[in-house]
Amino acid sequence: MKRIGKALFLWGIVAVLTACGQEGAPALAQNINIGADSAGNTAGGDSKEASTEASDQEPSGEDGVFRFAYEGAMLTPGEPVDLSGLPKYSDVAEVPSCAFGGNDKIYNFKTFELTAYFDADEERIYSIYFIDPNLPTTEGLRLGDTVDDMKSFYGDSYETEGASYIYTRGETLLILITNKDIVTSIEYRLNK
Amino acid sequence: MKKKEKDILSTGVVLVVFCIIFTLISMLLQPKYMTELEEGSFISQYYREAGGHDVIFLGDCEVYANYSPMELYRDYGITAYIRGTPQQLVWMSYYVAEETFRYETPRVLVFNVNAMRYSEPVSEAYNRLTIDQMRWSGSKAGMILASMTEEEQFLSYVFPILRYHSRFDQLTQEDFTWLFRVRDNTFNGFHLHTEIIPAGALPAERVLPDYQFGDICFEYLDKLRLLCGENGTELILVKAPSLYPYWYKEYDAQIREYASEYGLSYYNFAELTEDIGLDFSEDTYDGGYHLNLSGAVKLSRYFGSILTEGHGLTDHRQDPEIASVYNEKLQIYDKTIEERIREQEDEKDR
Repeated sequence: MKRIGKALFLWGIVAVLTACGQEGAPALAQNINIGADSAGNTAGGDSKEASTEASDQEPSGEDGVFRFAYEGAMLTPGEPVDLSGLPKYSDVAEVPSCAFGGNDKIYNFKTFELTAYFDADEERIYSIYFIDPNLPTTEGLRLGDTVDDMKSFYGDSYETEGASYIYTRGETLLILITNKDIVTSIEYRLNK
Repeated sequence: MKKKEKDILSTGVVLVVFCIIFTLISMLLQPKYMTELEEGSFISQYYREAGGHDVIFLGDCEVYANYSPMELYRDYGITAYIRGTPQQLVWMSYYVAEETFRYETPRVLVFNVNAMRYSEPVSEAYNRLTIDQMRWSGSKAGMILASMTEEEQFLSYVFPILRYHSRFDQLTQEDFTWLFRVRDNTFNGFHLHTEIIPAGALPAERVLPDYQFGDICFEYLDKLRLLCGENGTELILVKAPSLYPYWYKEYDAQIREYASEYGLSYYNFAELTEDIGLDFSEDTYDGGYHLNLSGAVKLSRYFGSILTEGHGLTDHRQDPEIASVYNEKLQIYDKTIEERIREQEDEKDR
């Protein structure tokens, strides 16, 4: 009997220790978003047309993160969404979040899309995705430019994943997808 | 009784009591998926219904939201069951199929190809929704090994208490009410949604660095095809008519090529929305990601016709035994729909 008691006691300890090893596993419910309960809602906007003019504010990268300067506004992945300095968006869609629980909101500014996630009820910028080939990054790169142009703007400190070039600054990424050495996709994104 | 026999007997009693208490605590701590995240109970609802289905659907939310077996029976006398679960990845579908063949041999297995875009497990949370309530078998073990993320441990699926021990202070009435039973919240696997949220703005189509499906996806699609072949079941590939996430033409081409190479039928319903009669201003409950009831009725009627005319499925409506079961199901189904619509209208009036 004593042996069995000891065995059960030891098993209990092992079980608890093993269980503690699971503490880092993702919280279940927070990471599930089965379909979108509300999606595809639109909101019109026409007060200020979006343009492709870059801002002359503080350039990207001076404080170790990528920032997208646009018409006087500075957009940084991870920071709260402030729409006051931007032209009115033309549409907003809600889609299940890729990186977080709940839904993301995707604001369409005609030249780019801003994806916002919710952090404790506060909207924060997750990514900025370029749509218009005439829209430059803060440093001047545009869709349709070459990989050499990309390197001249951002240097050689990148990682590659297939046809993607990924530049990292702090918690932010600049992800460039290429096809036959031509930049076909530009996205600023939070590294999460 | 000798002392040695007494010792053995008392040891046995202690062990049995320990196992019972351990199992009960483990069951209590496991999420029940009855009122929250109810999709987690879909996998287990099949076992009471297993057997006698001509068609089995496999895949993610694009199957359990978009096809209604009740309508397939009502209009064509087809007996079908949807074994869909949230984010069911290709290897999961394979193991669900393997398990299904232990219970029955359908004439047709319909696989929704949306999951081909994922060549890695998405998250533990989604894994749990498919795996937790699956019965133990080699298929479940295989699915766990194929699906685990780096942070997960096999043992936590064998002994769920290792994963859920911290739920002690989160237990709710649901955990006690549904400790020993499961409530059906689907109709042969169909998850009923009567709400309407019209499709509106959708995100721009993202450029992807690579449109090629992963090798592992084709590996499991091959295994699924061969498994169906061994059992004499026809494998049909489908893509549900969702507006988002985008089903790229490059994706479509790979499935078409695969289907052509192995002589499989492939129906991309996203390209057939007009023929089906879908109207995304009224046939979706979430802005175009999934169909609601009216959309599912239209798609099921369309697909039922294909299954009957193109794949020779039998009309069972004249079979008294089957008709008796399905007529009862249809009554409950129709009553539930009426109640849901009435509740929605009442809510609007408030």
